Amino acid sequence: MTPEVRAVLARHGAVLDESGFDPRADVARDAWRACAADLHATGARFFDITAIDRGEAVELVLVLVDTPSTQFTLRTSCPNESLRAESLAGVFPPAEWGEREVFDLFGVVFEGNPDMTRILQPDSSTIHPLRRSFELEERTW
Amino acid sequence: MGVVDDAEQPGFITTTLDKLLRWGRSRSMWPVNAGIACCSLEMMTTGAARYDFDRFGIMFRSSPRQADVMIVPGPITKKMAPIVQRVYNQMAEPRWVIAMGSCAISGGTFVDSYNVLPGAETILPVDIYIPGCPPRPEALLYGCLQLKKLISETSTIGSSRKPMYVPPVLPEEWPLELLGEYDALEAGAVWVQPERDSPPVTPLGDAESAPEDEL
Amino acid sequence: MVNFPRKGVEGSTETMLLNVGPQHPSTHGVLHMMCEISGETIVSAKPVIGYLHRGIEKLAESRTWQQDIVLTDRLDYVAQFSNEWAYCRAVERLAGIEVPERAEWLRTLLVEMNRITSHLIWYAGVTMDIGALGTPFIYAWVARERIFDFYEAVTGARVMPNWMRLGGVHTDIDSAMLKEMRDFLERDFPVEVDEYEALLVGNEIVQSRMKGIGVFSAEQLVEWGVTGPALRASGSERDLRKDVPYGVYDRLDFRVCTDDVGDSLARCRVRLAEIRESARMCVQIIDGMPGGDVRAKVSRALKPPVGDVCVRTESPRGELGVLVASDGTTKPLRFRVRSPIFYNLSAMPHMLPNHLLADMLVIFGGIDTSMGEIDR
Ligand code: SF4
Repeated sequence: MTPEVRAVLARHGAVLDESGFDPRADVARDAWRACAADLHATGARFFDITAIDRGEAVELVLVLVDTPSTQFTLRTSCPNESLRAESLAGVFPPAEWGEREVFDLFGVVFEGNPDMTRILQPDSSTIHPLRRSFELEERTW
Repeated sequence: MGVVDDAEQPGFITTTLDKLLRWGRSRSMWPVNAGIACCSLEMMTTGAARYDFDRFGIMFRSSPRQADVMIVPGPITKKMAPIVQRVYNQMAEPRWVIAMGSCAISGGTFVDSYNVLPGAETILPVDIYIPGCPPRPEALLYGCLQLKKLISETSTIGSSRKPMYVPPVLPEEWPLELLGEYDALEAGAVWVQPERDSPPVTPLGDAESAPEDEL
Repeated sequence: MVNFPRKGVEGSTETMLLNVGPQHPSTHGVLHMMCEISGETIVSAKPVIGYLHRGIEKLAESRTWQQDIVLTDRLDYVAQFSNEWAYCRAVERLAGIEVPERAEWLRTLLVEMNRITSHLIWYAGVTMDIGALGTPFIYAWVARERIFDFYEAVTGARVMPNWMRLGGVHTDIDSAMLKEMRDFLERDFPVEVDEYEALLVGNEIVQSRMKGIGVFSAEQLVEWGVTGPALRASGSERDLRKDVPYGVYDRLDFRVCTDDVGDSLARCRVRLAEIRESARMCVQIIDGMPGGDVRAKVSRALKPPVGDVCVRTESPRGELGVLVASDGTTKPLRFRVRSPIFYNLSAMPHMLPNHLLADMLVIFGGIDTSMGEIDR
């Protein structure tokens, strides 16, 4: 992690945890977009945006690459009652599709994404399959 | 006893013609070039030098209108299903379907997935099943030769034209696509002229203030 | 209905909507590209994906850690070994599994051979797209079939190997087979590649179709999230095999193939150079192969500790990331694939405007799609 990244994370009140494999920084949901925009200004490169269902909340995970050989994750958590977050599509252009995928599979709505529609499943689908609450049917063979 | 007669009592000319047609069809199967998933790699391999589909008269056509065999090389997902159905219904009669690989037979590895149909037979009338994941090119060749045998044994004279295949259980999630008025009669539905693409957008800027006569 | 607002062109009266795909011979799988065109020029474009979405990420959560290797093969079915390796590396890192030395060498060997076959498929595809029906396709399959024979001898399957295991590989390769591979890659293969190169880069028609088409700078491409050979053709040195060496890449002598023109022809040259470089690396690996075990003992009911890890690898198409999260049970909590082509394809709306419709397939061939990994 470069010092600039550290400074930005500290400015946005992120909780830094470096005990795992990659450093992870947890920010509040309000600071999500502002923090990502500042990280973009430090030269951090977008790698991936995804989510992990933690039961009572969906954790958004933004993987960023700061130097060519190191990466870190920026995370925030959306409680089940309000599955929404600010869109990063204006900050990192590839995040537009990543967010559409998170919306499709988890149901998290990103405010400000220019095209918040399903990307992988057909439009007629009504499910968000990667939620824990969605269980696969047993098929008869 | 006539020379040309009805389907129940085929006469000399009809049967000879039928034989000729069967001979011709079975030796020039043209599959539509629709690669869906991993099995299409082996389909391509079969078309390439070592296995060489062409020596059996099997040539891939890009347009369904020119094809009479459809090889389904992979899982049919819910989003893909209406398109597969449409491509099949666009093919000229008579037509045949080969389900290639375990995905097209039953859903295969993805059988318990939420987005995969349990086999191509849910929406298409499959004639030949080729097991494997993916089937080896030899297996695909063998399957095609079986189909060749099937084609040369089935008479198509007298069978009524069925431009549209209506699966036994109609899928709920997507409507069966009707391509024309004739299909609607077959499917027992009312054909509605599909909505055409919306009219062109007005050019950007002040469309109203542009003087008419300049255009 | 797909949300595709038309932009329109100032001063022109009418734009037209053209759908390419989903059933289209040159989309390499089932991709649907919506293009708004004015005359022959693309005004805006939007790829519509998801026709091959099989829900692999969900299925992985209902299978055990070991069983998921089967699913990784089906992600990017053109580069199967790369996917297997990315997944195995992620889980091994999470669970702290040591991989025997020889297994690492074997993995690197087959992944590099896989890079060759994957680029050969690109070669066959891109030439077909621009109208060379047949000839380069059949040429490319000559070398590809030879390598597939090796796959079959080693793993028992041609396309879906399922060969890597957590903590090593399933079968060892004996020295006679290694020698055969080395003979092929050192003696016969470079001759073939010369021929491929002459057919593609040396061809006048190909040059006139590709030279100066789709020129993008490295800064633009990084901003759009493009990785892999498409990015390196614009002069970037980004290659995870050098940046974050994994496997035995730190012990091999290879160079990162780059080109600084940044057009479609440069992308072809980079891929052809990578084919050569991979063949050279394979020879080095075979020469340096140590002896020993190929598989560490890993429990069938593996329970990695709670946590998550994201691992980045260089697949033939770009940076493949695998994120696995464990909740301490025998099944993953989350298995996420960061597909390189998914994000490369998301750059298409930025790349295509102001190009001719016929150039669409050329630019499209430059990022080398494989729908299995995009849709997952
Ligand atoms: S049968 Fe196997 S190889 Fe064929 S499409 Fe299914 S998973 Fe892929």
